[in-house]
Amino acid sequence: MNERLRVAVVDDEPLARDLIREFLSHHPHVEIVAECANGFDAVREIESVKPDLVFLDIQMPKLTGFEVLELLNGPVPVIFVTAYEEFAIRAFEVHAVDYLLKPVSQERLDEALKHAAERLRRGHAPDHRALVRDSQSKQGWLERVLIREGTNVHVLPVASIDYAEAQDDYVCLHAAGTTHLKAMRLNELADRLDPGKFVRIHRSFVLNLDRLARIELYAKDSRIVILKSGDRLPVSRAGYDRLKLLL
Amino acid sequence: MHPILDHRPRLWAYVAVWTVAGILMSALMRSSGEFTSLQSLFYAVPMTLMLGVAGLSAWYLCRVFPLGATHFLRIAFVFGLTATLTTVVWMLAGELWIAALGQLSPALEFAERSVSQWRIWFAIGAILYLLTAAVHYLLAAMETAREREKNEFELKVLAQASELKALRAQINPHFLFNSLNSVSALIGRNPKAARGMVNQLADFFRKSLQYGAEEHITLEQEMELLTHYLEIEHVRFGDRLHVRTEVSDEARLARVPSLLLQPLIENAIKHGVGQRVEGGTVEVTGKPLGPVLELRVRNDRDPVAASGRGTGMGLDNVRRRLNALYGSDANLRVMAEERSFEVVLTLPFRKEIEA
Repeated sequence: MNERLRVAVVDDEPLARDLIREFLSHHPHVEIVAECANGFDAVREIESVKPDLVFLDIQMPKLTGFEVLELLNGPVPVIFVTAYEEFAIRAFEVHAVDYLLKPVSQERLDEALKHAAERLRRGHAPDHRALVRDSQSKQGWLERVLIREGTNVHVLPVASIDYAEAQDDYVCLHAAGTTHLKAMRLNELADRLDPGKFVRIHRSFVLNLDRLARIELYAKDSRIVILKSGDRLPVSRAGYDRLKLLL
Repeated sequence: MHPILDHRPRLWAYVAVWTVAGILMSALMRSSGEFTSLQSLFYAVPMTLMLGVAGLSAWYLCRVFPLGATHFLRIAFVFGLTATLTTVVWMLAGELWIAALGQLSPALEFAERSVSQWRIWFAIGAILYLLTAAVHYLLAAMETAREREKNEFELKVLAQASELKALRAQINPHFLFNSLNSVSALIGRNPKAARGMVNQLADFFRKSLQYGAEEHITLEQEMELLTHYLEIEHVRFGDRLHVRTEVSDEARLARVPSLLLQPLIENAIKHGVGQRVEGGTVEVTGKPLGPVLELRVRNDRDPVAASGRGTGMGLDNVRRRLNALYGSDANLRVMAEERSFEVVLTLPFRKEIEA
């Protein structure tokens, strides 16, 4: 029971962090190794200090708690802390994720801590992917793509994407002359983009309709699109049919 | 939508009525002794039906000259003229019809015949046309009444729904539980501040309940409520939340729908300032512009904030509420820029009548 536990506390409200710190101070074996006030810092700190457990708020500037989980490399044990998110609470129940409701009480926190420590001892690696997927499906069409480059996090509004290109298990996002790699399949991305604005023009390419300048016949039965930037992308026959429907 | 042409059962009824009228007409024609039964039928029934078809056009005149909004003499003139014209054209068509029948089926012995009692025909034609016009006016009135009833009902439902939503919005559970969490944190380290926050919460909820029960309050009262709300949020967000209010004394006397600004302030914090690491400012301004009261709620925002969703709901509510209460006299405009979000409301400037 009294193994040392290294904990990170993530909440944008200083008072909320104070409260958790106060309650944790009654557990001498718990050491707070990081306190973060926003999602960006949380991703960076969690990756660098590798805490055993994270107390994670959901509504924060920059990134939500779910998005923080999405961006973390490995599985991290988490206790979510939330005031009132009906959807989130249902999802926590479904996916057996520990959570605390605000106002947080000492007893509830002790219980959750004990539970989490037990899981840790048994070597239960949490898999939050299903939870993250659930939270994404609640969001409607994707509005922004989160990209990790090293320890930095970029937020790329989907409207700024010119086109996306499949590269094995990655998607290469071309936006305003720069490219970003995201560990994601093109299929996955295409499913979450607004079909009125993005078209799968080819097995390997999704095009932002806004950027389309014209379509040219390239050879018999084969076409290419030319973007406003001058870039040229191949169009498959099925892709051309999809494109025609939207033009 | 034509009330007869676009309405299958009515169209059948219309055709049936005119067919009966046609048969009566042919009986009348026969009784004059000038024509045989067969001749009468072949002449009067198609003629009457033709008049029925022409009569359908009266609908468009009814639309252009609505009964309540047009002077009686004008209506009399318009329909007098159209009745005359329609009937004249109709009778000329009748002559052509007789000529055609005389050519096509000599057995009817119509050749070189003509209707001699043209005065009676003219009178009957004009009367039937005017009757048709009256029926159209009747249908138009029915439609208007139904429309109005539907609108009123919708408005009532909408008003109730938005009232409920407004009530629910101010007792936002997220706000309540977060505030209680802050109080709990303060109790340990700053009991005095904790007590202050409890009092603010109590004042806010008491006033919400009191004002929420009324349709209108003064802007002064609304601002009072907002001050409590912002004080509480200030404790939660600390230095990240800056507030600037600029509401003129004149504007504070205005009657405004209760808790109209509250959801806007909530949005400004939740989706605006709360999404910025460095925080930001919420600005509330209110001033009379002649006969109009202008209210603005502006906030800083993060250009790539976590969620722009949800902002629509609160705004939609406010817009619908304004529309239900003031119609086109009120207006809601959103000015969304990359780093700033502003909602501008205008509504009729009416001062609270002193009791």
